[in-house]
Amino acid sequence: MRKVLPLGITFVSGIIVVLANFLAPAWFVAANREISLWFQIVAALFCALGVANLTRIHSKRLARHSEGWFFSIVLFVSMFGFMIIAFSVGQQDDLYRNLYNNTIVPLNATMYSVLVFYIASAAYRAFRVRTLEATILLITAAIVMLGKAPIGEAVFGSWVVDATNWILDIPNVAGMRGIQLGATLGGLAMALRVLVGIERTHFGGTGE
Amino acid sequence: MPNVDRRIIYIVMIAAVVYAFVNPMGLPVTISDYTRTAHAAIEALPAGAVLVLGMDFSPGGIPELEPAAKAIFYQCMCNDVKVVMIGMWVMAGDMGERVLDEMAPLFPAKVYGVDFVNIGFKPGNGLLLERAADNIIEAAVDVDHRGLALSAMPLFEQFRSLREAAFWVCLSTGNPGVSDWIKVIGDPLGIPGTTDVVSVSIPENMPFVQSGQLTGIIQGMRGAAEYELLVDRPGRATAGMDAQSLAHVVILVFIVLGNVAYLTRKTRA
Amino acid sequence: MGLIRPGLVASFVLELAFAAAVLTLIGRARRGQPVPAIRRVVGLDAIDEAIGRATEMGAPVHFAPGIGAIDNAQTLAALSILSHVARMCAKYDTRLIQTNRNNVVYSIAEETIKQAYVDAGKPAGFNPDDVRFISEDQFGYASGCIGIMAREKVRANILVGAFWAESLIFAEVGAQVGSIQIAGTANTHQIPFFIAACDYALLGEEIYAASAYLSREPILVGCLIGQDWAKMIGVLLILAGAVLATFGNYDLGRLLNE
Repeated sequence: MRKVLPLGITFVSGIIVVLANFLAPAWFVAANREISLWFQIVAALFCALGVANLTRIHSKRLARHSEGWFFSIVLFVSMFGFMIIAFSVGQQDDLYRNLYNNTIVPLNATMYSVLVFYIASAAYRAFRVRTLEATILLITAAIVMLGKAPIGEAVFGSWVVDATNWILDIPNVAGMRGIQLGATLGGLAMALRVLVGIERTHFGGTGE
Repeated sequence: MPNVDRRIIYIVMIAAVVYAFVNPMGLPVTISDYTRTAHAAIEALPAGAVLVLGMDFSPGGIPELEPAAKAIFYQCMCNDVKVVMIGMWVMAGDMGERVLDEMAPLFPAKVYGVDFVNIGFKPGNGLLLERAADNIIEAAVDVDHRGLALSAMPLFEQFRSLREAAFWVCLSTGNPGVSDWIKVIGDPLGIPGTTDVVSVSIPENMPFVQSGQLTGIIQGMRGAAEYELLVDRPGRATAGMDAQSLAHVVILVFIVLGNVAYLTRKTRA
Repeated sequence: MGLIRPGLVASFVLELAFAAAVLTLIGRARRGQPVPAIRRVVGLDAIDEAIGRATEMGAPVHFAPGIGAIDNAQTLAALSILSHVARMCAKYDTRLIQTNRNNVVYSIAEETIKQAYVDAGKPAGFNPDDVRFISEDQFGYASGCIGIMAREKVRANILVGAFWAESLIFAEVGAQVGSIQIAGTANTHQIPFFIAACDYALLGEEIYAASAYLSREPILVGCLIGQDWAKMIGVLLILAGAVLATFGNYDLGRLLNE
């Protein structure tokens, strides 16, 4: 029963979700929506699990005065502080919005901005003319980088923009379609394995 | 020539970007056909039509997507096209408010709830769009991002579902995003739409442009800059073009230096 | 056809054909009939090498299953690879640090790793503190992970699953701390970053082949071959459509839009 029940639930709910994309009867679509809503509810409940895990790990760090224990205090203050403020005054209150706009937004933007430095160092390390393919990659990357920034056209003329558009329209689209087709079919096969119970990693354990 | 320490690369990059902002070069920005197509489609919308703006991005996407959102909102308000903002991402409502905070005061005659609404984030990903395609008030649980009742708003007296939208624009930094809009709104309902995606997502969305499932495409910050110029309101995206240019040049210079060092070592060996 | 939504009939038929191809090969494998061999996937072979290197150096292995939810097929593929990695780490007493962005994935990953240690006969070796939920926020997760990579000095970094903008952050920091890196994702926009910054990259559907490739179970291999059969059908349709369209005939395209 321990194995059969989860497999059964997976199969029934999975089949309904898959077929609801194709079948027209309203009751089928309604069943799919109900399942999806319950999925959202269960996922929301797991948020509490994440908070509990963080609290457990960082409490231990504090108790042992492990390296970086001060940052565990910072985590507790920010995590529970935000939660208390959000629950007490709501998300429309100026306090919450100011806190959000002046902490979360700039921090997110900063991490995203770090990518410009990492892409520079990764490109410096990786784009070497080791092989023919690597050389083609390098030349293509150079053309697209110049074509996408105004300086390319200003210095080299409109041909670099035309070349960039050709690269994006022809070889890129062909490659993208191929990879997406393969990845989509791979995902479909994975879904099929989950439906029929061959793939069981989502049950935890070693899937046995 | 030894390998360049990555910290030197970072310092040069910072210097180049700061220089570009302090001493703007004013490099000309040519407008691509893809951006013109998107702009023309929105420009052709009749007065009173509803354009749905999918605010499917997080703060990381602000530099590339927010300028386009502002430019599109500006264009719609100038042409008396109504705008409904909705999103599958948690921060959609906040992203919408950022746009309204700056752009709404430019149109004092336009009224919230009559000419534009920010529904904000509602859970469900693609399911949200499916439900909104049937009944947008029910899908949004009759409340917008500001906590106001949608059923009390004049805009929703005529506009009851996404099926009645004239056009959609998805501003997306990932998933859920463009593919959900195409799958649920674009293809089945035949409602035309376009997207502004971050630069890394441009290649994967080009097949949709070629197949006609997207009406043009606004390509990252460059596309947003082009759109700003088309609506005659150069803003942050346009200002960022010089910095982008210099950043690309820095990367190319270091790639060349790296290859010179590599080939020199190879020749000596 | 009233039962099926308009415009989806051809898709439904194709999906049934795909399922039939996969189930046929699964049936063959179950009956003990031979199934074709699968080609070598360098990235998957390198997993054992990476774990071995970390073991020799006495350093931990880091595994990130991407930032997708449990309903993402890439996350399921990542968990099947995690199962193998956990077994190897348990066998060689190598510390495995596994980080998660999603709560549901975290709980499943914890169970997976715990079971791997039990199966290896070393239940006491499992450290629940090394299976961590970092943050639901994308860049909060990214900054937490790179902090762990740098502080713990991981020497093997395995990044498989659904990644977005944080992929390059992980890969570049992993390279900076000197880890051997194996990465894989079906998100096409992140594949170039993994190729540029990692030692081995699994492209697109190669991550879905992991469970079959690592276990070599005939049923899973059969499923993989069935998937390739379905891809061949897709390729033939594309070729036929391209040839017909070249001569001005668009009937095949219209048929597939039915």
